Amino acid sequence: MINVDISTAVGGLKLKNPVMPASGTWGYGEEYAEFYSPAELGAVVVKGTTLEPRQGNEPPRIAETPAGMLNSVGLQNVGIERFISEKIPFLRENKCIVIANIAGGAIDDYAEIAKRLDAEKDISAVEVNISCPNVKKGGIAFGVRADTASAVIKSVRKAYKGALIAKLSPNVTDIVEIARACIDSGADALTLINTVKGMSIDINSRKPLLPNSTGGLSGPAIKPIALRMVYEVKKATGADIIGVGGIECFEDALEFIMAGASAVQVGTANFYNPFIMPEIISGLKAYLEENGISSVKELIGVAAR
Amino acid sequence: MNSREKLSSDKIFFGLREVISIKEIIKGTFLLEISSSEQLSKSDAGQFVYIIPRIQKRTILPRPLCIADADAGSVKLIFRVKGKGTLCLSGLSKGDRISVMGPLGKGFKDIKGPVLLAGGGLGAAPLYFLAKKLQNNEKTSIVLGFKNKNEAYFIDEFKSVLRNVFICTDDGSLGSRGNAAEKVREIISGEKILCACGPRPMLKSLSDFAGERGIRIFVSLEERMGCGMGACLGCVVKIRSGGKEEYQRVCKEGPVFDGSKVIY
Repeated sequence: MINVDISTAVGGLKLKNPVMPASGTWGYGEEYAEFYSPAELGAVVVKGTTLEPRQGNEPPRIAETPAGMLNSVGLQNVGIERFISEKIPFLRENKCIVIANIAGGAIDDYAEIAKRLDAEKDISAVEVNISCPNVKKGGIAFGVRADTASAVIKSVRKAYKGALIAKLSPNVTDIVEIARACIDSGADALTLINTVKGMSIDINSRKPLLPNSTGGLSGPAIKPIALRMVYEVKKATGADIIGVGGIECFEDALEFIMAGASAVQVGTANFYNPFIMPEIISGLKAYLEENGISSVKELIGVAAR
Repeated sequence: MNSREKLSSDKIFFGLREVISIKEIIKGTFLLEISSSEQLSKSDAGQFVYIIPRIQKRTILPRPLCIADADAGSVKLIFRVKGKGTLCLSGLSKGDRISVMGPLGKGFKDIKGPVLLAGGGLGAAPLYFLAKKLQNNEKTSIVLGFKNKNEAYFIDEFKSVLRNVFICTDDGSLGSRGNAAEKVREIISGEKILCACGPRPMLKSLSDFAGERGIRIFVSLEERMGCGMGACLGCVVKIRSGGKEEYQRVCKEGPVFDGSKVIY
């Protein structure tokens, strides 16, 4: 059997393997440490952080849908100060590669958080969330237009020297246009995709089930959409991509890699199998061994050429 | 041994368990008995177990079920058919294997001295587990409230572990007429701790009462859940904490909360 290499790189960031959690589905890494060390993962992407702490949306925040779920958490988080003082130490002690996901209601908020994180040597990259569908101000509003997406990325680029990843919304007409705008504005890589805006109605109350009316759809239901977007963006731009959307096994991860993703994120599947990420990592390794492929990098984008 | 069994942590089991029995105890409500594990046998009353039904992969989220009893031999779970997931669980048969994760959450801890328990409807189930753990304390009493006699369950089980069992129904078809919150006000006699599980209005009423009387109250809450591990922030309830109101997680800080701090 050959020695296989599952390390990868995205936006200049070297990862020992291509698997990481999607922001907001794995807390700050502490929650699942009960089961295995977060250092087993390629990186840990933490819950979206805003400048000030946020309470988030009124419950219920979750609705299951066919092969998926809607969420409307609304970026409940402890704010940048407490993130730095209370959450980073655990990740540092566990020697994790940390990707901080950042969000804001105004462009200046993003720049301010980025500036704070630029001084934190334990943060390896920032993932700029311009795609949250569940907050009233900011979030997705920035990510659905090329000019506003560009403005946010430019301001973060000025404030942050490390790897800059833009997390894009699928709720757009032309994903390639937004992707290009982000790359041209200084993003080193793209995360594709955030949740798809959706709805569920309670037929007893005759009202939307979520108090916020709409929520973000995730889970296997959105995998074909995510895969198509990764493929389109890879083909058109050649950019480094982290693929995310409905991944629940190593075969799904491989599809994303072949479509053009250099790494993948796992979200909803963590909820029904807390060991899914280590399982995907070993599955990828076994696939390479069985197929005589020496490095996972050889597979990136093979289906998009 | 199932290979996944090795993946469990010291405290939380994750893997397949076998259905020992399943019985419809009242219409639409099932008692599901599954094989146990070291972790599950150490469950606290008020904790919950995740059962993961995946009907042709269309349902994906686990279902939190309350623990009605747990020991080294088996774990008894109670659930009511509400939607696709619980409907699927109701069709399980003896010998089936199901994906299980637990115990999860924070249950009733360090409950000592004269205690009054109050359970409404399905909320009686986790209190049976608590009653069993408190059965050597002769000063433990329970009030059980049901809609009517057809909705009542576990009466004999409660009577076998507690001396004082008070039953009431909304229509008076079993025990006295009235709801559990009213009955608690009527029969309370010097207990300093109240443990309650049931519909939110009942828990609110009891929390108000406990506040007036200056007694401690612990309530068990439920909410739609995602991860069950505290990561996704899906299952929150509003709690008073340090002069502020904040959302706390039913799966992590709860399901059992200090009732005086819950914003109902």
